Amino acid sequence: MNFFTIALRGLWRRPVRTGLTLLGISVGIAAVVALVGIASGYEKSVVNQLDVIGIDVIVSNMEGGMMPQVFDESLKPKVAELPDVEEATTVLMKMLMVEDAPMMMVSGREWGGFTWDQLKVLEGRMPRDENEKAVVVGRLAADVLEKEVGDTVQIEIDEFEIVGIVDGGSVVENGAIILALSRFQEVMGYEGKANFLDLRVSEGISEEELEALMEEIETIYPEGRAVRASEVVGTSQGFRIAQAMSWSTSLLAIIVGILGVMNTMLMTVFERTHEIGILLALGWKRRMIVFLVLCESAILGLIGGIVGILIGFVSLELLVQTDTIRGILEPDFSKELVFRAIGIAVIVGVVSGLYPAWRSSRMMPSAAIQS
Amino acid sequence: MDSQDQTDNTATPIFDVVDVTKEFDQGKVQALRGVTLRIEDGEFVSMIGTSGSGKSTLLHLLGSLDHPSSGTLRFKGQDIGNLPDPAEFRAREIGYIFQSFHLLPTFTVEENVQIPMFGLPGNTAKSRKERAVELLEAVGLSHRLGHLPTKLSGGERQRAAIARSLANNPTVLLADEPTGNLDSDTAVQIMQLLGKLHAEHRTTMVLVTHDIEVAENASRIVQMKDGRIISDPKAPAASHQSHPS
Ligand SMILES: Nc1ncnc2c1ncn2[C@@H]1O[C@H](COP(=O)(O)OP(=O)(O)OP(=O)(O)O)[C@@H](O)[C@H]1O
Ligand SMILES: [Mg+2]
Repeated sequence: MNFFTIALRGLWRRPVRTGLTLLGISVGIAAVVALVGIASGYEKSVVNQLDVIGIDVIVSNMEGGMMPQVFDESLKPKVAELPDVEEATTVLMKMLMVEDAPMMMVSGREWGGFTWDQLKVLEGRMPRDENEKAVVVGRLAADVLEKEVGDTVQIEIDEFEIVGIVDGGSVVENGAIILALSRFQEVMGYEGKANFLDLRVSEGISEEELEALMEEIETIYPEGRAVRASEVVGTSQGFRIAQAMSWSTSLLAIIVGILGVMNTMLMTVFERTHEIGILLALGWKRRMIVFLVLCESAILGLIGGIVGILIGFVSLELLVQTDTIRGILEPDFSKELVFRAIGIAVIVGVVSGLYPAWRSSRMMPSAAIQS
Repeated sequence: MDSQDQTDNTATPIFDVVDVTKEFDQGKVQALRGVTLRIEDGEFVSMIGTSGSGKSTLLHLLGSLDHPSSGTLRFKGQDIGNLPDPAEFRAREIGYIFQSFHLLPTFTVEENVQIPMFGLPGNTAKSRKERAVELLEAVGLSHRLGHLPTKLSGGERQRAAIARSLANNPTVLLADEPTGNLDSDTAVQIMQLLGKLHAEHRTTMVLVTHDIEVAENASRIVQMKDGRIISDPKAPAASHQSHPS
């Protein structure tokens, strides 16, 4: 028998209460894991997509919503002629309900632009030219839509032939429907408009030159913002709202967890006043009692955290199987997230044990024994 | 036993209690009203008195489970009335035995005996266990090591509690009505055990009871009433405690 067994024995004494407290913590931690996993998974997936395509800078008007506002295509030549801009290409991208899929990325890309380059045809072919009423679909999108080459897909009010299934090297690309910009503009009623201007800049550009370039673009297009590809997700308002929501939900979960554990530990301390008195009479130091209470609440936190991570992981995995999420993001279940979740859980445990521990240490042994 | 008075008075006593009072509830309750008492090393003292006379309160003060309101309380010449952290003193010097045993219900008998050993440094898990088994053998409970206290009879529980009180090899055993919850036959056995332990180890023993037969196991019987000592064969002559009120 050691100190740790004594703490465990204390918890085991009220298995139902301990179990319920654990459930409370683990649901909270599961929420943290799932929400943060989704948010950072989304960020990673998008960054990965832009990286694969080779986009350095994105120009868009991110005001309001997950998808930016449209601008006139005439912006492109003005930006393209700036020094250090290697290539520029316009994209009109929308999240649409496509047939049975509740959310699907549809990406109309300027014909001949570099955004087509990384697509590898797995089956079928690319559209013959920009006038063909055809789309290629990423392999995840094909899966979600249950389509094969030769099928048609309805986008808004129009039907397109699926001429190819492609691998774009990232979840976002593989979950998308890709077609020529002019065809998509037509369907959406956005003739001459796009909502992204993707840039490749010259290789040896310095930080300062890049800053200057981005500033210059913003003077040409005052409503828009030029952002490095690696930072683009963070500047999206929709993403920021989603992230804030995920963190505030996490915070709520943490507060509820702390209150739950604190309540349990306070009950434990009151209930065991007599027992604590005996321990003191038997020569236990007050700080041993404090440590015992903290140990018990830290164990609650730790076990709750581990269970919570498992629940969070399983629910993320299940969530990714749903058609809503599949092809939009790959959940980010990183080591950091695991450590953070365990850290949060243990801190929740210890913090909520502080007050009960302090209470327990203030008892006068003679009075505690008589209670 | 009076013949030893002179020699005893020269040696440093185990407990030297001088004019100690204890109040509760901001003075509304006066549990001890000026108690003076000397207990020598190796003595076996019984304290008797009616309910509410302050016996338990005095025992708590001796075990440093509470502070006196006034007066001095010395253990081997050292003031213990207001130790900042009395835990070490309790763990090292005091073994406590209670009327209702106070074994921890979620620990086996053998684990219960180990509990006080956590109060002192230098014990390994192995040494704790070995000592617990040894002590339980000494009180005749070696067949009950792995049982929970609830599975034991009252007499067995008190034996386990006695083994626990000896865990750190204390200087003093303080027993508060150790036979109060036992039938008379079992009470006799427990008193025999305590008598035997006292005889073998010369542990100083202070026993609180209101059963005169139990009290007579001791070599000295101190009687309390209303927070005062009203009779003590070894009372210091100078400040003999009659009550002039
Ligand atoms: N924590 C306390 N708060 C208030 N009053 C107390 C407290 N402890 C003891 N008392 C009071 O002090 C007096 C002495 O109590 P104590 O427990 O010492 O008596 P006792 O001689 O042990 O009695 P008994 O034989 O019933 O155990 C009683 O009047 C009791 O009500
Ligand atoms: Mg009493």
